Amino acid sequence: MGFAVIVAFLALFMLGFPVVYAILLPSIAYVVIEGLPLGLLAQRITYALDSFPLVAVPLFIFVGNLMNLSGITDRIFRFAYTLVGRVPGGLAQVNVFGSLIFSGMSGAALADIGGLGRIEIEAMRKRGFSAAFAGAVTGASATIGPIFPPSIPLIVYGSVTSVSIVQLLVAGIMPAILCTVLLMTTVLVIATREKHPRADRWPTIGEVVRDFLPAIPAIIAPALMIAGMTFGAFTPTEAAAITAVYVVIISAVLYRELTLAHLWNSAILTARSSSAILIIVAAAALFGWILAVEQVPQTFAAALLGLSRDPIMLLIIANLVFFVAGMFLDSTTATLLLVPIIAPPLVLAGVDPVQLGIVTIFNLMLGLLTPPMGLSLFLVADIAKVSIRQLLKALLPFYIPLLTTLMILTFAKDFTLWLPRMIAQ
Amino acid sequence: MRFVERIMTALVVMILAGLVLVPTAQVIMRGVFVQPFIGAEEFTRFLLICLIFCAYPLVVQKGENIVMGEFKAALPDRPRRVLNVLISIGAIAATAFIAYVTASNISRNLNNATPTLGIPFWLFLGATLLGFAGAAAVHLLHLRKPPQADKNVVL
Repeated sequence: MGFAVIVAFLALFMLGFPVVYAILLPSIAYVVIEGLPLGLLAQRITYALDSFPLVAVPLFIFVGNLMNLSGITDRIFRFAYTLVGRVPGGLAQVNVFGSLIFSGMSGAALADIGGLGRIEIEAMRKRGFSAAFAGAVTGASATIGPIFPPSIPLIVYGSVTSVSIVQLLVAGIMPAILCTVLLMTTVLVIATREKHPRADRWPTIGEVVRDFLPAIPAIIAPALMIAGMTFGAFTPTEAAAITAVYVVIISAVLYRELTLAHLWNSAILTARSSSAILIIVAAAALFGWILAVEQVPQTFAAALLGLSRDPIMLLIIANLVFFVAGMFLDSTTATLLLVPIIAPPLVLAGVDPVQLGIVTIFNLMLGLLTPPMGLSLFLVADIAKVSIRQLLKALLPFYIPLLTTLMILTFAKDFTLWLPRMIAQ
Repeated sequence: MRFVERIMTALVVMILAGLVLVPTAQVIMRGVFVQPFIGAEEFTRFLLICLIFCAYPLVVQKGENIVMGEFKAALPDRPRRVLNVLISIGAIAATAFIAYVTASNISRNLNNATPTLGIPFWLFLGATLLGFAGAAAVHLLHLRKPPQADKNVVL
């Protein structure tokens, strides 16, 4: 019966049912057919959201929306362009660096591409970059944000596995910086070889100071969040709330760009985006419970541990599973449905749960960018108005830094874990 | 319809404001006044439940559910329209059923409440009922022409 529920979910999902109904319809059918108490449905769905860490999800989205709508994003971008616009690749470098700072706030690679990515692609096209290259840079760099704090996929992962969310967020810092450096190096090589446009000259000290001063309070916003969490001043949820208040204050008082309309629109957008993501968390709790009743995780764990007990081998298998899952599912759905099944046997075999979290989320992001069904791929192609073929051709060199990062995350455990270990001490 | 949408929008904006202010107040109470804010976490979790379910009819209204629509988009026009109707029917069935079981659950547990703040059970599950009943109503109104019909992933 558990197998039938999984097959029904996949069938409905592939047919184009919204994910929440693709999960709910087979789950309801299971509860009815098995004669389980119906009251269970309402309680499982509601209590799945009775979680303090999950409160950080709407708050981080709210911070991201506020920063975009109140001009804070523009200030950071202007400063970044003044600083690195002359480097080969100019705006493409800013695009990669911007993703490190901002896409974690939107919480998901897809949201980053749909929101900020739209602006970045348009700006790059206006400065003479090809649409395919602009799309490729945007798609590749959108994989960084979800492993860099604040990251909604990592919060969801932490809430599913009960791994410390602060540890996960801190562990994502070094891999995200590594990936940013590798992507920027790739842009540098491509831009130098293909003579891509860049700023006419290096900025003067005066120009750097002129753009840096107004950007300082904006740059402090993500720094405040990260520092507050890593030094234990507040939990991720509290950090998100404090940052939201801080962003409202600096936008309204310091920059004087935040209007009531901006605030209202940010709040509405946040409520809808959060609901679209977390309603899946609610439905998936029911689905997960059904799989547990049917002993699917136990069966899977036995099969997996029967293959190998070597942590590295198991991590390689997990890499493949999550990579393929990312090609078909968005990160929240994949995390909620697969992690409770795959993570326990790996942790049992000695894989560090924090390392596994970073590897999982990065894989899912790579899967989103990979044919045949990578959802980021379709979204970027749609925004940049290029064919999938053109986009893939432009994306090809970017798989090298992305896969290199993945290999380092998989085989060099200490690289991911030294920062959380250091802070724990 | 527009009036109800405005009320729901105002409601979720107020809930979100609470979601920002309660943890902030908790940090200030702890950091500045060295006082505990009893029940803050429970109230914040309650607000999250309210936000997600009360905003869900608005998600449906704007066609913003997360969907993987690539296979459907590749179908010829007629099968795609049939599939859209099937999806609408499935959505109505799922949301209406959850709303129904939530209502019966509430009616059987009218005297229960949460441990710290004593939030009544009917209020705790009320957001779930409102969200799914509202979503069922919006799906029913859209029926053959849902705004989600030709969209792919939306976030």
